[in-house]
Amino acid sequence: MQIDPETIERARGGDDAAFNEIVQAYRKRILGAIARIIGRPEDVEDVAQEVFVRLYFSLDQLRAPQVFEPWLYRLTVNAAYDYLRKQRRRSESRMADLSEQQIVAADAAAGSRASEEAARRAKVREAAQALLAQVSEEDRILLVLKEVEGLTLKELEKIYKVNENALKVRLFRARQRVLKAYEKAQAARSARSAG
Amino acid sequence: MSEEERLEQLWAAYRAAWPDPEPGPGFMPGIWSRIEARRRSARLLRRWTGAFVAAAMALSLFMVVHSLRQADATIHALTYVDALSADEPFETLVYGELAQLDNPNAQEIR
Repeated sequence: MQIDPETIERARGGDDAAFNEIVQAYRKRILGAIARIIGRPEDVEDVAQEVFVRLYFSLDQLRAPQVFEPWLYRLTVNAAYDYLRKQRRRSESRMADLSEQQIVAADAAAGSRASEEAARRAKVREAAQALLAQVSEEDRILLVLKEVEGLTLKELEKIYKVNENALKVRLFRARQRVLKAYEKAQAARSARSAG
Repeated sequence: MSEEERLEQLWAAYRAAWPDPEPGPGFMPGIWSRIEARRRSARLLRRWTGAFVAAAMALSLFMVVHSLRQADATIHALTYVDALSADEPFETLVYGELAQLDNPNAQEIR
């Protein structure tokens, strides 16, 4: 745990300084997780702020400081899910175009100092995001937490509050769906390069 | 390499391509201003709820008083009619009218 239970207890008691300490300790990790889930850097801070605001108003519902981290992840998952659903409601095609334009614009802005490494990273991000866009929000979040964030099944159990077997089934199905999308994308790419 | 292994590689590369970002300078103040905004709206909601409850209670009280006063008025009206009937009993009226029919020149019996 990145913070001691006493600080969490103090924050639960309404100590704003203790709450600030919690935010300082977890903000980078939460920002990173959100960035990898939603894939839109311009909205990451907004969603992360929402997570910490929800945390502030629900700290009194926390049963024990020991379950703080899975609980914070749960709030993160919920906020990211709400964001993705809102985004889905907007025009998807327009969003995809915009996202691509933004990547191109960001690359162009970086201009001369853009290294090959940065271009490669942008390409990887784009490929993974395109793949994640093919599955549901639920699958997307679960896959990012497991495959990208590297959370264990035990940790996911605490976040999702489901038993291991149910989680394994959900994960297996999500993997199958994303694999199918990946194969489809690979086939399309092969066809393009052949043609 | 199988598709699954390639996918695993992609996830690993994706993780590396998104290092944990540094929050901007407005991150913490942004959190606190959101907290304050929510506290304000919660306070406003509480105030509105309190005002609504008070208004509902006042209205209920008014309606109770009003219905009681109406009931009082009905009771008084009935008492007045009853008083009139008592002043001129039904039997007197009937016998008086019969006497008048028997003897049309006679004065009304009182």
